[in-house]
Formats: sequence, C-alpha cells, structure tokens
Amino acid sequence: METLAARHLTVTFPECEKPVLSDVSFTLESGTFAVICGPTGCGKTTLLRMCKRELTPLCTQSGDILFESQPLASLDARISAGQIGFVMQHPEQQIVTDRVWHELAFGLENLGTDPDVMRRRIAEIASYFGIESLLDRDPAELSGGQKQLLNLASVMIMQPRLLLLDEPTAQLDPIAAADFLTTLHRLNQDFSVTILLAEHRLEEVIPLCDQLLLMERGTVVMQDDPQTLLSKMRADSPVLAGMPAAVRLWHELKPDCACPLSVNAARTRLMPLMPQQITALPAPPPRPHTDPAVEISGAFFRYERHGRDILEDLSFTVESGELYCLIGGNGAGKSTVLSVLAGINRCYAGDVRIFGKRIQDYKGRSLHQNCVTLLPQDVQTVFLCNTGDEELREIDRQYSEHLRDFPFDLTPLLPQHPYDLSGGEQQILALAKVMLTRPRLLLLDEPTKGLDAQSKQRLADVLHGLQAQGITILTVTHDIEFAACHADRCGFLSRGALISADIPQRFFAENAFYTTAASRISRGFYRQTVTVDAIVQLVRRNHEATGH
Amino acid sequence: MRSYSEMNPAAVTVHLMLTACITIFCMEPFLLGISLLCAIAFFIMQNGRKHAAFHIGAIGMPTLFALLNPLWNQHGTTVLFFINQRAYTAEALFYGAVTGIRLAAVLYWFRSFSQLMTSEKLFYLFRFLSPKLALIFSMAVRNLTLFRQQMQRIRTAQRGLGLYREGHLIDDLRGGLRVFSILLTWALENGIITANSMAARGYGIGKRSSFTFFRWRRGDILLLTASLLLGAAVAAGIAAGRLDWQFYPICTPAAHSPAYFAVLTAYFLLALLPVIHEYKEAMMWKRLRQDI
Repeated sequence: METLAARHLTVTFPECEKPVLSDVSFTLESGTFAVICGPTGCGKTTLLRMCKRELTPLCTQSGDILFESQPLASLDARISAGQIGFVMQHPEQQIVTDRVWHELAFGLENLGTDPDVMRRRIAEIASYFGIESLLDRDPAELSGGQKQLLNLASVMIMQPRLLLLDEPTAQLDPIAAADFLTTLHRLNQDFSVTILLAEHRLEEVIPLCDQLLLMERGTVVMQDDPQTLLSKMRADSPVLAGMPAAVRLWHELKPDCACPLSVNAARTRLMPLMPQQITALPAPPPRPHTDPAVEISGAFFRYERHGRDILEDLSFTVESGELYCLIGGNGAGKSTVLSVLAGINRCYAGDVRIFGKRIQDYKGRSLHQNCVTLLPQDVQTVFLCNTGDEELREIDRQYSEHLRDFPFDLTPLLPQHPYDLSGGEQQILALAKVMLTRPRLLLLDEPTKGLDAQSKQRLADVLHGLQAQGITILTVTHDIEFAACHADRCGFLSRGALISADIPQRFFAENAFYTTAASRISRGFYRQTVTVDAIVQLVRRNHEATGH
Repeated sequence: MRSYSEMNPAAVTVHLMLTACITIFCMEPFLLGISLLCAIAFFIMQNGRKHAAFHIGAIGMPTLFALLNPLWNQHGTTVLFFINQRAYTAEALFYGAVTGIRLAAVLYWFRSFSQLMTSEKLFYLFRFLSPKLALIFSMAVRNLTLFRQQMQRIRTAQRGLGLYREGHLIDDLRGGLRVFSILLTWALENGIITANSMAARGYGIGKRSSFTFFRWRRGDILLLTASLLLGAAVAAGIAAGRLDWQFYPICTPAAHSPAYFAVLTAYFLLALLPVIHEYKEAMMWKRLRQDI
C-alpha cells in the first residue's frame, strides 16, 4: 500500500514567476525509509511542507498529494495532525512547553485524548526513547541531541504512520546525529513508520535508507534504491560531494563492482580491485616554520571554584599563517580554549601568549584591536542589524574598500536581513564582519555546523583565501572530514589536554577510530591516504607506473 | 508514604489558604498564638535548621510592633509611663504584640506556601481556571528562559568580537539597545517556528484535554474534606462573634463558652494537620520497617 504519493505537483509562491516545485511525482510504499537529497535551494523543504497540510506555505498549487490514497486537502484535521508527523531543523524552537512530560503530552492534549490514555502513552514513549529520567526536567537544560530526540518522541507519541523530517540532524554534533538516525531507523524497523527525510549529512543515512529521491531544480529527477540510483548518478552532480566516501571513490574510479555504500563494502569489494605497486604518496613538503601566533603552556581552567578542570595542563602552539584544526569529542574543552584565547575566560594557571605577548598584557581593547577575534558557534549572535550592509557599515563606514580582498563576492548578501540568509551565507557574512576588525588571529567555533557539502567547500575557499593574506586561523570542529581536507595541522583534544598534533596525513592515519572514512577504507591497502582525493591520486599513479 | 509537600496541590492550596486567611481576619490572641506556633512547626518540618535569618526577622516582629504601637496609639486606660507627655498604655502594648503575632504567622504560612508551590504545581492550579491560560503560562516560563539564554549568548559573542568597550557608559547603552532590538527579531523568528511546531501537532483543531501527573488519592480527599469542615467551623465561630475580643479601653477577652473552646480546638487541628500527617506517615514507616 502506498503511504504518500505526489502526482504532477507544481507549486508557485506568490509574486514569483518560476515555480519552486514543478511537476513532482513520486510514490512511497508504506514502511519505506526514504531520503531526499539535492543541493541547497532545490525545493526539499518546500516539498516536505507541502506534504504536511498544517505547514503548507502560501502558494498556488496544481497536482495532488495523496496520503494513503486520499488527497491531503480532504483529510480530517485529527488525522492530518496525528498521522503525519513533522520534525524540523532547530531542536530548541520546536519545543513548546517548559517540562519534558508536558511536551510529550502536548500533541495528545490537542487531540483531546483521555488523561489515562495519555499517562500510559507518555510512560511507553519515555521508556522506548530512554528519557524517563528526563521527564521532570526543563527542556532548556537538555543537550541538543536530547532536545531533538524529545521532538521526535513528542511526534511519535501521536503514533503517526508517516514521518517527515527536514534536516533534523543539521544542528547536532556527529555522535548525537548518529544516535538520532539510528533511532529513526529503529522506529522504521520496529513499527514500519514510513519516513521521508531531507538531509545533507548523508554519510550515515545512505546505508540505512531504502529509497533515495534525487531533487534538482524543483523536481524529483530520480527515485530508486540507493545502490541503483547512486550508480546511475551523473559524475558531475553537485549532490555527489555530500555522499559517503565509498560512493565518491566509486564514482572517481568506476571499478568493476557494484557501488559500495559503506566503509565495510568499500573495503571488501572496491579496495581489493585497486593496484598496489605504490602504497604511499610522496610526503608533502614540510611547512616552513614561522613565529608562533598562539602559545599555551601548562594552562588550567575551570568555571567554578569547586568544579572540575575543563582545561588541564593544556599546551600547544599554533604558528602564524597556519590553518589549525582542534578536534575532539563533546566536553573535551574545545570551545573553552577559544574563549580563553579571546579573553572571555582567564586561566588560573599556566602561560597563554598571543603573538609572543602574554594575554594579560593586552590592556583594554588592545587584544581585539587588530589582533584576535572569535566567531562563535551560533553565528546569528554576531548580527545586530537589519541588513548585511548595515551590519558591515556598523564597524567600518568604508567597508567595501577594506573588503576588496575578501575572497568572496558579498554583493548579493548585503541588502538582505542576516536572519534570512542560508546557514552558509550567514557564516560568510559573519566572517566578513569580523574581518573588518582586521584580526591577525581568527578563532572559529564549529564553522561547518549545519552546512551542506557545497557551502563547506565555499567556506574552505574563503578560509584559504584569508590564510593567503597571512591570517592565522584556529578552528575547533567536530567535522573530521573538513579537518582532513583543509587543515595544515590537526590537534586532538581530550579531557582538556592536547593528546596529539600533526599534519592531517599522519594524524588521521595513526588514529584508528577518530579518523576519516577514506582513511578507514584504505587502511592496510595504502598508507596515509586520509581523503578520497588522496586515494584517487594514488590509484592514478599506480596506473601510470604500470602503463609505462 | 507521601509527605505533605507531595500531596495534591489543590488540596494543599485550599488547606494552607484557609489556615492563613483565618489568621488574617481574626484578632483573637490565643488563636493567633496557635497559628504562629503551628506555622513555625510546619516551617521547621519543611526546612530543618535552615533560614535562621527568616526566623529572627519573623519573631522579632511582634516585639517591634508591641513596643511601637503605644507610641502612636493613645487608646487604653492602664498607663505604664509617659513619653513626651503621651501615655504609653498596657492595652496598646498588648494590641501591638497581637498584631505582630498575626503578621508573623501569616508570613510563615505564605513563606511555606511559596516554597511548596513549584512552577509545576502552579501550572496545575492554573488548569482549574483555564487550560488555555495554563498553556500560556507554561510557554511564557519557557520563553523567558530562552530569551535570557540568547541574550547571554549574544553578549558573549559581541565580547569575543571586541566590538564594544566594557565599562564605557555610551557604548554599553548603545550595545544594550542593539542587543535588545535584535532579540525581538530573534524572538519573532523563533515564535514562527514554535507556532509551526504547534500547528503540526494539531494545536487548535478541537477541544483540548489537559494532562497532569497529579491525581486525587484518598489522602488528598481526606485533607481537603478535613480542611473544609474545620475551616467552616472556625469561620462560623468567628462570624457568630464567639471570638470577639475588645482591646480598648480595657482588655476584655471573649466569653469562655464551650463554643469558644470548640472553635479554638478546630483551628488548632486545622493548623496542625501537616504535622499530624507527617507524624502519622513517620509512624507508619517505622512500623512497616519493624515488620520486616
């Protein structure tokens, strides 16, 4: 039986000539776990919202959407609200009430459910999601991952048959995201809930799903099981950049095997077919040493007098002109390091030097005057004005002159409200704003959070451009793929101390668990190939060597 | 094995409010004395040895009122001495002490009440007025928290950028205004997402029901009935004038009729209910342990 179907759906927003969705048709059989992928702005969100009557945007629409063979418009309000669940991107803003149990009850209350039934359902769902101990808590105290699980639970409590999710893991760290996706998969397997998920964090979800919908320019161009669809996909498709390393590798090399979806499949099916005369690329030339931009030695920090040390005997050096990535799990102290370097927090022991000068010797604003600036994780907090133009003008009236060398064309962003920009554009506008204070050391907190593959690439280009102008960049990130591709050096932070630091090739080759997918795929076949590009290069070299 | 604080908030509210209101509307020294003693016993039962400063303040009050009242109150006939040719009378001293005791007792009851009523219990009480109002209350509490958090985040972010001098009045003011204005935008933006999330889960499609973890158990109903009966008895006694004292010009106590003692006993029981309850539970616990 089909749970959801679209028939020649065309949607046009008021005062727009081009439709956002044109002639979209697809069918989801019940119990399917389907993923929509497509570049930003291809209409994923609009399509999902069209499938949920309560969230349908103001628009003119032709064609039909059918839920269990009934047109969406003719559904009973209770069925539409209860049987079709919707989870959005922002974990915090979807929560309505100030208690976890009340949040779970909210949907049932709206349907007028009997209190005794509610009591049972809440107990059931809390036990299934493992959140019983959180029932009395205020959602504001929960972690991002817990909040998003709560959002999922408060939709699941209404026992929907269809679940629509719009980038639910974009704001989560990798571990919470994997948790969330595993829970989704379990719901799909245990209750045969039909799932339609828009996502750009495809590494984890592709091996779990059983249908892929590829969207381009407002229409679904392909729908198939992941294996078939990914094999047929054009090699120049922009979506490919966000695919799992195994898929990208297969597309680059086109070997004689089915397209692998996971690391395991790539290791067992694809790698044995690769030539292995040469097993390592020549080592990259060592970066010439420069003066240190940041020197921390033996630093200790804690937030409360009787709390635990967040930074514990931390020592590391960042050389000027470097792009340094600090990685590590949750609570390792990554963001705290940045707050110490930005002068927001102060260590109680140890020595912190910036450009050779002790941090406490920077008086008044001199630490931030042409020296250090910190771009926080939530870039929205950087903006205070109504347009991008005002935002930049606030710092420097002649900003266009000073941003002449900025490696990105800001013009389209300037007339818009910063909150209306996409996540990637916000990141770049915020970068431009902080660059106006002419820093020599740029501190970035999770700059790739919530960005799709293309925006990440664009951000990396901007960062490399700034680096070429001599700016030192220290970024903390969960995104090890980004670190492997773009960092000069990576440092691994654990329990407030730096465990190891090296260039990415050696750093990720030596890590067994905390490492990139490409490194896990090629381990034992090749040495120090930590990116898909490196593997491809090495295979080509092998071919050249045997060809001659 | 529930303590008084874990009982149904509606029953607790009715009980405490009756006890406190009778204290407010009655000027019978013995009743007020009972009220104060029971209130202190209840407060200590809830808090142990904490809040010493509160005790000192609350107990000091009757003394202060007693000493001050004769200064501006010239009624009464038993003159103790003269200050600036004004009589300082025993009746006024006594009246002041009684007023002070009344105030102290009310303070204790209300302090205990506000300690017991967490936002969750208040929310439960709001439901009796209107379920819609209760939801708005819950959302307001949540939004206040979010607002404060985001304000803190923006402040920290702006500090990290080093855009505003700290401790510079004009910069602080300018910065504060801007933070506030962007917070409004942020709140609107957030509000839209929350509204979507509410609509998606069927808000406003029909009559809402309302969920709560609080239930009516036998003990709660018992507490409610006992409070209402005892409270009604005391109120009837007061209305019938059985507890009327005259303070001026000469102190004349209420007539020592059987009704008088009955009303005092009823109030004593009412005010002591929490302590009785707690004692009963403790005994029961002990007996159960011994049986094991």
